[in-house]
Amino acid sequence: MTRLPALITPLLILAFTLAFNIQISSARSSATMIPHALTILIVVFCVMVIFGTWRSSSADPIDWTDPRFIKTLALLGLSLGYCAVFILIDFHIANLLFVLTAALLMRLSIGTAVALAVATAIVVFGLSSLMDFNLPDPIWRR
Amino acid sequence: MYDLAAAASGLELLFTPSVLGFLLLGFTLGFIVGSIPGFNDANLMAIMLPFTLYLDSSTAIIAMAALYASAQAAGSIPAILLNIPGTPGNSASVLEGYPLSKQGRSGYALGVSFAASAVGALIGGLLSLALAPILGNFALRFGPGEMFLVGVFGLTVVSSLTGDSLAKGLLITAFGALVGLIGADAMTAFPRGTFGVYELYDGLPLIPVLLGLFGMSELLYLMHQKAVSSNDPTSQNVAQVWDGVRDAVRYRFVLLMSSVVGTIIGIIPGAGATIGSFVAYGQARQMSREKEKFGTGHAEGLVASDSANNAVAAGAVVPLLTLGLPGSASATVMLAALYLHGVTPGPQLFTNYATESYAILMSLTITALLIATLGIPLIRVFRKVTFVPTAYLVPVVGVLLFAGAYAWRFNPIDIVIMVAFGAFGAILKYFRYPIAPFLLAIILSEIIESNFHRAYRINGFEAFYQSNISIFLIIITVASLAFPLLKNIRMRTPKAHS
Repeated sequence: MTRLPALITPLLILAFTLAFNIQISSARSSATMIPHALTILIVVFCVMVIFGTWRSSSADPIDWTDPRFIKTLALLGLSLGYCAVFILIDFHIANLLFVLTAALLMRLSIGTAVALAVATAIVVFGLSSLMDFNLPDPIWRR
Repeated sequence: MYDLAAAASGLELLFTPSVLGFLLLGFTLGFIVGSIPGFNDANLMAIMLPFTLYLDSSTAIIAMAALYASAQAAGSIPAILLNIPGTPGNSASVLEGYPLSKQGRSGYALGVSFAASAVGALIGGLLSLALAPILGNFALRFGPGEMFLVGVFGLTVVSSLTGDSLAKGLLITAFGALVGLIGADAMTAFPRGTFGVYELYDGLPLIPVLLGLFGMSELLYLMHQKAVSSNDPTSQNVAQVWDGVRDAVRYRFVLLMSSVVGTIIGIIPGAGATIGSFVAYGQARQMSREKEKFGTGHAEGLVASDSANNAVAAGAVVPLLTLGLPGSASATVMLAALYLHGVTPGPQLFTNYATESYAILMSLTITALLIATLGIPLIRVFRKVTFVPTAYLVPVVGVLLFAGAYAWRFNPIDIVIMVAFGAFGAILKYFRYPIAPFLLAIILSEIIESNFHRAYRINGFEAFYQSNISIFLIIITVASLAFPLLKNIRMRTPKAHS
């Protein structure tokens, strides 16, 4: 069972390859020649990796309750939250909130986190103005 | 073969105030990022990539080349002080550098390292300047069949030389090539792998993919380190730096030999600074009269590893410019930068962009001089960057990654793509899959496919083996796959007997 997490990567790769092939099933042969050749290679190498993992004495177990794992997921969640805040509310507010929450996740004090968030948001505001970012209107101007 | 007028124009371009300013900026940023363990030059180059789009192509690439070369030199700082290589290419530096620090001679070790780095970068830069036009001239004989084989060779050599398992390297390379085909097919306009997302019809946006694979995935790992270090062992002995510089220069033969070895390894796509520095270190040990001192804090070993890894950085630019094949992860980011600036590297580069090509190669030599003149005194200042707590680094760099991904084409979906590739990159790292071949395959797959179709239409399958160059490329491609396979079998054989 400890070897099962090591199958995550080959299974993800196989799932994407399968979906890719389903989408191009109705394409002309010139558009499918290289993808089909790559698919054969991917399946062969996946079998080699899975077989190697099964025979290997070492394993890469994932402890789903490990605080480090949860912290990584939390940062990924914050990153997706950033996208949502950016699209739904405003780019600069998204920057401010991300730095604030990520700093708190990294266990900085509230005061330091606020100072870091404000300073970073100001720098990115300057950068985006300088580079003439084509930003969507914030929610209060829509 | 050598266009002296273009070389003179390149030198003139290099010394224009704006280009020189960005070269200095790239040098400084490379120095800072090289001093931060775990956050290597390829990561910063990926973050900087969208911002360089506001510069002209030669200025952007020169700034990146300077960043790349100076990061290799600065990566020795944490390797020597903390036993943590600043960049993967500095892995061999810890073998002699850290024991010297433990003996209270870290200032001396830093002096040795920077003198060796400056000489390595200088020799590597000069050799690259001499070799690139020759290789470029030769590459003009390459047709679509040969270019297809060059691309395949680049992928096989990278996949077989990186990571701990050949099967994993090959799998991730083949998968990268498939991912690189996402978008409308160039010949039939049929959407492949887009799954109804219109933003993907033009293909995967390269910058968010780069930022995700290198920057975001690295952040997800760095966040678990509370601080890189809390003590500063060099405060007492910076005065020893100059003693180290003097001692490094005494090992003239090792300096020259390791720099040449490093440049040659840099020219081989996929070999990279890590392999270059270990090969040079091993060679110096074999040839030394004081073999027994190696591993105990011997300056000769540090001279070999650090001159070689800086020479690799210069050598890696040669196949990048002349064949469009990057020799390392950082060179892969530079390849992306060239494409984004509309410059197609390859056989025609020295014809179409002669001045810019010479300017880029000469910038490597200038960076070597900067390492010698500014780098050694800057050790005192920049070593402090090693101690930046990740609690500050992660939130700030995270926002820079989001801004960088969005700045590419002002589309919020690019941030989602960046986060997705960051998560996938973290999974790859956790299960020890190499990331550089994945990225290289994404970049090269379209070129490989288009050259395949072109060659096939001209002369069928014969186009792939009709010239001597093609046959040579097929042989070295097979060899690049067979060599690590045979090495694995040889390593396993004694285990089976015991």
